[in-house]
Order: sequence, then C-alpha cells, then structure tokens
Amino acid sequence: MQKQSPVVPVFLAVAAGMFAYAPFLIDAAPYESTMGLIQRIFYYHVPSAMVMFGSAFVCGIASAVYLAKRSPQSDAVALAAAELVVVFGLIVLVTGPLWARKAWGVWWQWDARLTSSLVLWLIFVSYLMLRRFAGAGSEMLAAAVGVFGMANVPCVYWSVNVWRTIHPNTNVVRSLAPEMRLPFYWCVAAFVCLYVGLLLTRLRLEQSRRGLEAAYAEIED
Amino acid sequence: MNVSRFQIAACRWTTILAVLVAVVFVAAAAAQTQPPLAAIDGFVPMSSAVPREVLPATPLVFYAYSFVWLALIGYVFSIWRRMARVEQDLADVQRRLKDGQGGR
Amino acid sequence: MQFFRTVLTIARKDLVIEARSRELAYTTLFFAISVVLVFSFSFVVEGVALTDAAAGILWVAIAFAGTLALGRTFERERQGDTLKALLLSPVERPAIYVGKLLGLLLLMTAVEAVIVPVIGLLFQAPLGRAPWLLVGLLAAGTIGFAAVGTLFAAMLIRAQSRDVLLPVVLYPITVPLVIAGVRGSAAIFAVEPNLAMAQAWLSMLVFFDAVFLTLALWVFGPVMNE
Repeated sequence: MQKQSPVVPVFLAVAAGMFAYAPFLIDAAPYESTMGLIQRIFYYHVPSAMVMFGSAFVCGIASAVYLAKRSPQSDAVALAAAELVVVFGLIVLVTGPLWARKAWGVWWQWDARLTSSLVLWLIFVSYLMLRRFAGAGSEMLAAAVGVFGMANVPCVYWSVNVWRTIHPNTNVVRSLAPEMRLPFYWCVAAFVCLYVGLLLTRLRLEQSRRGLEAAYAEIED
Repeated sequence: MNVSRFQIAACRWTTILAVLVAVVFVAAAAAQTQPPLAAIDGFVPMSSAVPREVLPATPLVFYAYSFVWLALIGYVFSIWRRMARVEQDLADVQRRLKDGQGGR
Repeated sequence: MQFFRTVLTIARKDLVIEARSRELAYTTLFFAISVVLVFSFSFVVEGVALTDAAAGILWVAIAFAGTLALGRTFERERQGDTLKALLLSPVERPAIYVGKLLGLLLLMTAVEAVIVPVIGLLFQAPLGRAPWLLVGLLAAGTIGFAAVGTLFAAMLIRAQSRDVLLPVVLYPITVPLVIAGVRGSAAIFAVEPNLAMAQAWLSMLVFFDAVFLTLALWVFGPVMNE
C-alpha cells in the first residue's frame, strides 16, 4: 500500500501561489514598444510552449525506456506526459493566434514555427488516439510514436532560426529587457511547477487505474 | 491493492482545492487587465505612423488568459472525474471480492 | 553479408508475388492518377493551374498512394500470417524491416515513374529543367515516407482500427517530408526557378531520412517483439 506523499499537493499549491502573484508582476512590467498590451500574452504563451516541448521530451524518453525495458511505470509516465503535451499545446495554439490577430493582422500563418508546432501537437494527439483505439498492445505502438514525437521537437525549436519567418526567433528570451525578465521567469517557474503537479496527479490516476485492472483480473479467477 | 478511504479523500480534496484556487485567479487576472483599459482605449493617440486596422487588444488578452485557465481547470476536472469513476469501480470490485470470499 | 542476403530475399519475395498478380501496382497507380485528377479540378481556375499546384499535387498523390500501398502490402502479410513466420525465423529484425522497405520503395518508384510525367503533361511542369535534382528530391522524400510508413504499418498489423489509424499516425510525422518535397519541387518548377533553394530542401530531406531510418531501425526490433 502506498502512502499518499505530500509532494503533489505541494507542487500544486506552489504553482497556485505563483499564479496568484503573476498578474501583479505582469502588470508591473513595461509595455513592449510596438505591440503594447497584446504582448502580455507572451508571459503565458512562451512558458506554455516551453512546458509543451519539455513534456514531449519526457514522453519520448519514457517511451524509449518502455521500448527497451517494458516497465509499466515508464509507460504510465509516457501516457501522462503525452496528455500534457496535448493540453499545453492547445494553450499555445490558442493564445498564439489571439496574439497574432492583433500583432500581425492574421489568425494563422503557415510559417516554420507555427506549422511545426501544429505538427508536434498532432503527433501527440495521434499518440492518444493510438492508445485509445488500437486495442491490446497499443502501449508498444504508441511508444514508437512517442519516440518520433520527441525527435520532432528540435525541428520545431530550430525552425525559426533557420528560416526567415514572421514569428519572433529564439533570441527574444535571451534579449529580454531586465524589467520583463522577472515576470517572464516567474511565469516559467509557475508553469513548470504546475506541469510537475499535473504530471504527478495524472500518474496517480494511472496507478489507480492499473490497480483497478489488477482487481478485475483477480475477480476473474 | 488497497487504497484507504482517507487517501482517496485526500486526493479528491487536493484537486478541489487546486480548482478553487485556480478560479480565484481567473477573477484576479481579469481584474488586473481592467485598469489598462482606460489607458489604451482612451484618448491616447496612436504612436505608430502607419495607419492600420485598430483592434482593441484587451478582449484578446482577456480571451487568451481565460482560455489558459479554462484549459487547465478543464484538464484537472477531467482527471478528477476519471479518478472518481476509477475509485467507484475499485470499491465495487473490492466489495464483490469480499462477497465472493464470504460466500465461499 | 547475411544481412544483405536476407534483405534481398525478402524484397524478391514481395516482387515475385507482385509480378504474378500485379494487383498492387495497377491499383496503386490508378489510385494515384485519380488523386492527381481530383486535386487538379480543385486547383485549376479558368483552365490555368495555380502556381505551385503541380508540386503540391505530386506530393499529395505520392503520400496517398504510398499509404494505400503500405496498407495493402501488410494486409497481405497479415492474411497469410507470414510476418509472424518471418519474425520467428533466425534472421535479424532490421533485415526484415529493410527487406519490406525495399519492396515498398520499388513499388512506389514504379508508381512515381508514371505519375511524374503525367503531372508534367497536365501542368506543363518543366521536368527537364533540373532532372537529377528532381529525382533526388523524389527519392529522398519517398525513402523517408516509406521508412516511417513501413515501421508503422508493420506495428499496426495486429491492432484494431488499423486502416484508419495508419494515416492518423503516419501523416503528422511525415508532414515535414512532404513540406520539404513540395517546396523543393516548387522551387524547381517555378517560373523563376531557385535551384539553390531546391538543393537546400534536398539536404533537409536527406537529414530527415537519416533520422527517421535510424529511429525506425532501432524501434522495429522491440516493437515487433510483441
């Protein structure tokens, strides 16, 4: 019998606290010169994208471990991470166009960063579909997709540096004005805490579900 | 695997707490984005020389932040719902196991 | 040596089966031509094709025809239960993968050999402008698509809903390949061709091929161990 460790509530509480303070920090940051208010979306959009890529890596590594060792724990981590890629990816893909509508005048552009982010999101949506609809043995198949999904992340990240594109390139974060750095890194930390909390919560659900299946198997006997 | 009722309740309360705290922040974030409204949509002239379509930014920012919160709360809620179903099924199965053992 | 012998044996088996029935070759080819026609009607305005339509339609036809060929090839294996027999035989897993890949590549090459001239005809696409570059783009794109496709089609052989899950899983991952292929071909077919850009896209395709082949070779063994 496992003890419910206090780790999960701690992460969620810390994340909640950080999110509570974030609006004050964001409000104190200076407005960006050309974009004005709409640039505020940056403080949620970019950390969500970072968490999305991080989660894709977690899923890929867990999938690789599952392919090599077949451990159910790594399979559970891969599934939880894939779900979070889809959730945070959805946030990125909705906040991005809302920002773009004001900043560029269009909802969507088929440029390198947007296209490859959408592709990454779709890869992990297909991961979840495979888990749900492929029947027995789908964990192995999905793990293969997870590995390919992880291989896709560097393409997304470097795409804006390789091609001239309307999307801001990766120098933006490095060259942030000092007053903007605190709210930005605060939000990054908040999102990372939130991600870890959600991942652990989802893992707990997966554990319970496997316990249920074991109980069903026992009842069959 | 035996999951005590205390642990199930603790998990449920954690998720309820997280959802409530998150709801408070939607309100806080919404309140925070209100004051700049007067500054942007007031009588401050456009500094850019190029005339372009003037879109009020505040609704877009509000929708963006709201969506983030809705998505996260929605996900937490979905985990909570699935957890409740699993716990219910688990309690069910354990009851049947016990009955089966008692009946033998 | 044993590796190559296995690869050639498996590829030859597929070719011999195909040569006897020619089922896949005819159906896939006809399907590809139908795709070209259907998309042509969408992208032709007042008798003139939109710019870059030829390149786009070419690669869409390759992707769709390739998916069909993949599905049918492995359906054949599934019906005869021959894949299990292959996996039980004392050969390296990667050799089985490369053998199936080679068979599929030959089929797709045959289809493309017909489709490309058809597109050149229908859209007045200048096929002769940079023929080797075009062949390189087609080869690299097809190899990448077939590499990922063979892996996933083999994986899905025993899954439920395999017919619809193959495209669902295959297309997001092969989108970068299709994009590179289309942009590269469009750079060649354009009114003002940009061969340097086409070469850049070709090198990107080669990079993707290397990554996908490596991943597929590594993943095939553990996945087929089910």
